[in-house]
Amino acid sequence: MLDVPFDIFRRLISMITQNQLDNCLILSVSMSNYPCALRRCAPGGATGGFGKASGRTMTPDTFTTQPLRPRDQFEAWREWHQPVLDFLPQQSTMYGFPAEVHLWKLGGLAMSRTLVPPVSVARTKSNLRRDPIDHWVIIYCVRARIS
Amino acid sequence: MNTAGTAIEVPAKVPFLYSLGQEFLHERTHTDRVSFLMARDAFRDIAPLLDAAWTRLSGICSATI
Repeated sequence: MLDVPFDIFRRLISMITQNQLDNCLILSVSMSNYPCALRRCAPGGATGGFGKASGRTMTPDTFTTQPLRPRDQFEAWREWHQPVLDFLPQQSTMYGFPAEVHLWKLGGLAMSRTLVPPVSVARTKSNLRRDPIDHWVIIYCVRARIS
Repeated sequence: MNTAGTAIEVPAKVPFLYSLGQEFLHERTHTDRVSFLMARDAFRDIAPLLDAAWTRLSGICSATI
């Protein structure tokens, strides 16, 4: 199987909740409301605790192609991801490419929720040269498939 | 996902690990996904786990070439 060992998730959650990333604690991650809801609080904050009452829902950075003209949507999506990734359409994008991404930045960790039509995603030698970022990425597809 | 010339299919609801430090080509169907991007410096403590998982995957790739 290609799944990520559970131990990685256990350690990941442990690091987040032990305040090793961004001087904050993640109280909860809720998938029930789209795109997601992350609640966090500063350790030892004014409330002095980590109960739900002391948490604040984080506002993600959001990019969506939907307000753009249909013919411009794919190119806007492509440009937003440059130079880290390149995108190649799998079908005509003349009639639109409705996509959106919500990004929560937590220091050395970022979490995103993405909705995107069928597309090919590449990281080429050119991308590596222009932006040599080498982050690990764990993805979990709620729907669809990657091949 | 195409790594080192080998295609791998990842179904929905299966967490999957990859590195932005490597070339890749992903063919994605209509996708609703959650991603965690982890800076290597911030996750130095679990680097052995991540490396082991990636090596395991690379081994699968090599075995299927």
